Amino acid sequence: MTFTYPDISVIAVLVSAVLQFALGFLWYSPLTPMGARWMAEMKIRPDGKPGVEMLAFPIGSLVASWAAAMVYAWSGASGVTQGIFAAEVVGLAVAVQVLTASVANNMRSGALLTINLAYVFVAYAITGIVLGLLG
Amino acid sequence: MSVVLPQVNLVAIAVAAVVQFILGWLWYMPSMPTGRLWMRESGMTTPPAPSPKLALWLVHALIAAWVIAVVYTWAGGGGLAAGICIGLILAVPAATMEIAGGMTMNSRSAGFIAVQAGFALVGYGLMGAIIGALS
Repeated sequence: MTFTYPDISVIAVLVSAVLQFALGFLWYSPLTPMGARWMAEMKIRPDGKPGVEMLAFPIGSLVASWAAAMVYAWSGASGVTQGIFAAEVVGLAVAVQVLTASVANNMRSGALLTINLAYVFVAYAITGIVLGLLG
Repeated sequence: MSVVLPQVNLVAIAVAAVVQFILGWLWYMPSMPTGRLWMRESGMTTPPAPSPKLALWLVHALIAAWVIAVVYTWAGGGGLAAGICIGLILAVPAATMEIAGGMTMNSRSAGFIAVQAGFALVGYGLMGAIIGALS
C-alpha cells in the first residue's frame, strides 16, 4: 500500500484556520493573562501597531489546519474525540520543534515556552474539534 | 472507523532520531554556513559552549520521529519518497510557526528565520526518508 492524497474537507480546513487565527490573536493580546505575560516577557509595548508581517499568522493557521486535516483523514478518525487525538499528533510534531528551537536559542524563560506550547496544544485541539464535526 | 496507534518500526525511529540529532549538531556548528548565519543573526560573537540541555534534542528527535512513523503508517507507507512527503507535511506547520513567530513576535531577521525553519524542513524530511526507507 502507498499513501495517496486523502479527501479532506476544505470547509473544515477554512473554519479551523479562522479559529486558530482568532485564538492566536487573543492568546497573544494584552487582553488575556497569557498575552499580558507574554508581552512582559518579550518586552513588547501593548500600543505597538501590527505590521504586514502579521499575515504570516493566517497563512500559518491555514497550513496547520491543512496538515491536521490530512492526518485526520489518514488516521481513520471520526468524531470530536478522535479528531482531537489525530490533530494533537500534528501538534506534537510542532511542539517538539518549538522545544528544539528553544534549546538552540537558549531560551531561558519557562513562562514564554509554556505560553507558546500551550497555544500549540489548544490550537490543535480546536482544529481536532472542527475536523471531528465537519471533516 | 476508529483511530488506533499503529505498530511502528522502533529501529527506524531510533536511527532517524540519531541522524536528526547529528544534523542539528552540524546545522548550528559555526563552521557550517547555516551555523555561521545563525550566530551572526543572533548577535553571537563566540560559539555557545555545549550545554547538557543539548541532550534534550535527542529526546525531541525521538518524539518527532515517532510522530512521523505513526503518520507514515496511517498514510499507508510507500517507501523513501512517501516518507519524505510525510516528514515535510509535518514539518511545514512547524516551519510556518517558526516563520510566523520569528516575523511577528521576535522581530528576527530573514536569515535567522531561514535557519530555524530550514532545520525543521530538512530535519523532518530526513527523518521521513529514513523511516520510509527502513519501515
